[in-house]
Amino acid sequence: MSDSNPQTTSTNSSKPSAATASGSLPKSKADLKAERALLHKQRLEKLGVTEASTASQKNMTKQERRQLQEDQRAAKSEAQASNHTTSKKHTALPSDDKQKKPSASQTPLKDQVIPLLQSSFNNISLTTSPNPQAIGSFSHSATSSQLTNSVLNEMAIESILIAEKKIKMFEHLDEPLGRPFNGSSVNKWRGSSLLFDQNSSPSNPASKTKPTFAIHPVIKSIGLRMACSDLNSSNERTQAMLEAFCIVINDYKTPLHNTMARHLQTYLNPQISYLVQMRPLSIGMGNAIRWLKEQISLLDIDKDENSNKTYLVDLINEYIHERIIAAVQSIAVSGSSKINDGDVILTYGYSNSVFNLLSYAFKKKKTNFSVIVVDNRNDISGQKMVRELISLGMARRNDLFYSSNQNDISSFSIDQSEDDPSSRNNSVSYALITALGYLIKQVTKVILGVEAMMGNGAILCRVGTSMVALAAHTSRVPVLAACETYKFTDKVQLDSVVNNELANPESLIWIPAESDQNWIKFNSQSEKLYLPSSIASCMDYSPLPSNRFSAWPTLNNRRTLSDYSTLAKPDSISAESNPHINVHYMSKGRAIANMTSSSAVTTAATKNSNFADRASVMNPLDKDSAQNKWNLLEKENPLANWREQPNLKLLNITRDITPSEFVSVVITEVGLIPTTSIPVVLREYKI
Amino acid sequence: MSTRDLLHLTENFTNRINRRQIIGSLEKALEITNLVQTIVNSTRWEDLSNLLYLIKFTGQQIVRAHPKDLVLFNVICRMIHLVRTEAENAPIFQNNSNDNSLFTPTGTGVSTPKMGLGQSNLGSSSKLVDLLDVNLSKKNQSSVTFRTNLKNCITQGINDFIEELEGSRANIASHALDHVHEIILTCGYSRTVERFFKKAAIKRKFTVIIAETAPWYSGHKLAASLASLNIETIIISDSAVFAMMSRVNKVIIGTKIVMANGGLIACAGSQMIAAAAKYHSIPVVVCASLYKLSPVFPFGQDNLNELEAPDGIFPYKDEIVDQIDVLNPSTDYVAPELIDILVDHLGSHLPSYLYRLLQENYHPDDLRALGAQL
Repeated sequence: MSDSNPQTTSTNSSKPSAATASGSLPKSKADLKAERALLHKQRLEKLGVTEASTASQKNMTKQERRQLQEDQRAAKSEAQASNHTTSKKHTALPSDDKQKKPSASQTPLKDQVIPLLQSSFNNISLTTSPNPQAIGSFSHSATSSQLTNSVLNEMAIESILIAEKKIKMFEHLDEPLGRPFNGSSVNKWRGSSLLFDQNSSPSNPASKTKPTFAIHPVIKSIGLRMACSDLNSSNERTQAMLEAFCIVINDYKTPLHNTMARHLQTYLNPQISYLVQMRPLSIGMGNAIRWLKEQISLLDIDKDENSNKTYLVDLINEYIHERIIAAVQSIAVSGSSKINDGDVILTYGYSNSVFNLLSYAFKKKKTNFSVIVVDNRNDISGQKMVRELISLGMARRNDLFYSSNQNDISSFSIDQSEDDPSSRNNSVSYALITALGYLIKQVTKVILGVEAMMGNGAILCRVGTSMVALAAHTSRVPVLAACETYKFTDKVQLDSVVNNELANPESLIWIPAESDQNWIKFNSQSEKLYLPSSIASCMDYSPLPSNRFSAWPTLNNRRTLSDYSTLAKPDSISAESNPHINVHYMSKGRAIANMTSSSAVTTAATKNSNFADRASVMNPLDKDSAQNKWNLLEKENPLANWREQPNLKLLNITRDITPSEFVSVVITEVGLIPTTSIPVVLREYKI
Repeated sequence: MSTRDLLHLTENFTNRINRRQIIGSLEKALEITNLVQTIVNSTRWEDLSNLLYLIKFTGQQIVRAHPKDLVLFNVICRMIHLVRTEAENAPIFQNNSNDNSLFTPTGTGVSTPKMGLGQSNLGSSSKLVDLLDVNLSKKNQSSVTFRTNLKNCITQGINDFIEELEGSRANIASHALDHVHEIILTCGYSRTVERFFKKAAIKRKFTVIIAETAPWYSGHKLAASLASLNIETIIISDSAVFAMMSRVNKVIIGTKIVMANGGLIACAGSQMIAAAAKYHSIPVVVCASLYKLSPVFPFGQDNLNELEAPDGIFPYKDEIVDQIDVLNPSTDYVAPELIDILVDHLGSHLPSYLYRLLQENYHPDDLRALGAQL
């Protein structure tokens, strides 16, 4: 039996359905098929299996067999998925009788679906092939292949959904980590690169033309952690990236006939683009990378490799210490001079430099001020700020509130020495951004962290910063922005729509509640911040599906990524600990089906073979109680069924631009400067 | 119905508000109207002053129980005003007292700017009741017919008022096409606004961006309702309002109260939305029924605010929740300069025009009598 036969037969079988499905788009479909055939050929060549050799399947290695199986599967599911698109189309047509422009409304959708499918085809290898043992341990391989089919179906549905839920205004921006799923970038990067080295990913057409390199595990680790917002602030991310580069450079060996100055750059490029793929770089990271590349190009060719390496690593460490750590400290010193006794400081979210500033004012300067932390309910980093401020010892004086005896207070304050923190009233308050209008009247200064200072003096920072600055501006409260100079850029941005980063839209549906384990866990998790400097820890990264930044197809469809995280780490806390996130945001029909079906794991045809829902599989509900359960859920969360509401879209942007006139002063390590001086600093200091 | 029964009825009403059994300003307004109707129908009042006293007394009880709920205050004041004007216009008076000086001061006085609220005015109106008293005592012999006549008039007036209340949302919605187009931003959940959009959606295609209004997430409710009506709905977090504002064509919000100066007491977050709109020079339209128009000026805005529990903002499980203050104000004050247009059932007004509406609907005396409770 020849190797190529099953492939061709399966493609043939898929042909009629595909042709009917894409009647309007025969060309792209044909192109696709040709491309696939080519890819397959390349793959076979690469594996050393030529047409002539026709090795029997018994002689093939496990991996090869797997590969073959996958091809078949992919082709089959392609056919199925295209059926999905047709059915989708047919159901959609009668409903939107108002829009009688099918050519405009449907072709883009379909255009998207097909490459999406292709990308999901790559992604499937992610769920199965890298860890066959894990799957085998779970269920035997027959089920796993059927499972992949259903997963693929799910993903096809998901991709259609994502395309439907796109917001016109933000179409130019990438989906949040949906990039592996997103057709537009399918040729740029493979979804499988999450776990595959790029050159071992056999389906990469670029692998022939251009030399590619393995993604270093450290880079993968920090990339994944950035993606799930484990590493979130710009300082953390930049530091983690630079430290990771130190490790990469340490492990790097210059190949023969190459100079380090030239080759290291080409080696680093895919690493960087991997990071970009996981999450767009912050301005500070971009600046650091530019600096690093310049340093690499300036390397002495005559020196031997090792001394060059140590030289580079030293340089990077110097950069980290000088531009980040020392800068934060010097901002703390100069900024805390602006905090006086009796001030009420308002700050937004968590920022490393603002926290250091406040802690310096509190610990070293012993200033008597109180802090109001305003927070965005999605990015609950303000809770981290509150926790850290409280752990510093900031507290309101309890006696002020609890003792009814007036004399008691006065005698108390006289008796205590000035140094005793209990004699000071450093109260910490916490509020959401909706409370701004109420709060701002009592505030005397606003201190903001900054992600990047643009050339026009605008601040790029987490979304909501501009609201805080606006509130302060309208009630004439000075706004101080704490920013290290490595975050300065001469780029200019005027509004927040042109360039932004989209986060998982479903996190808007997630409503924090006491019963939700995730709410508090996500917060306390931040205390153990790993940087690559502690190499041991950075290796045991587990892709915990955070409810905020994780890939949103993942959240939608817990069958894809969360599956493999539970497979990889069956005892991991991810899926089991918050079961109701898993049930929550599926569409109504599927959620109910999930709750009711008992034989979900064994019957592969049902879509409900969800490992994450094992609990519900164990004790299935009858249809009525499942319906009731869903109704309850919908009552407390009216958007639970958002996926089935075609007009309902969610937008979760993560950045915004604060106009420069809102900001009174920028605190940098080079001093306190007005926002208009950003280009001057850039020019004078040649940052 | 004895006084004790009335007290009981009033207490029952305030308790139901306390227990959140009556939610929504329209429901509250209707309940009060019903209460007044009961007073008019079932209590033993001799003459107008007696009736007014009863209503005022009941009103004081209610306002004292809920001093922050200005809707209650508004509606009670309007009811008293309504009873008085109905009595004044009642045919029985016009027949009998045309020769008297009964109407001289008020009849002209009401329309003059001198009567503007906040001024201590003529004192003529307080005389009015006395005059009535004198008048009525003279006509004691015909008091039974007088009473039924007056009762009918007042009932008619109250019915008209109920009609106005019930039709206010529909009336406001009828102005929707004047305002709704392209991209609208809103926040929270207001049934008036919901109705407004639904009406507009019949004729027009537009997009509504909804700020979710944490920690109540009332925006979600509105979104679910609008999306089911084929209106394109985008939910954003409250922090993204400024970022999105540059793409918005109009801000349309509801409110809890419209203050006498044109300012709003609206759901928390409204102020920032209005301020962001102001910065981007985007018009802010407020949909509010007339019964939300309060004759009170917003001195001491915080008195009208309520700080709610930190539920849903900061996890109680975290032990540091004891050491911090979690602030959760339920409302915002939006200054009148941030608002462009107020839409009520009569049409669209500038905030500066409100004093005129106030004069038509409220009587300064009642405000003084009840305002002491605020």
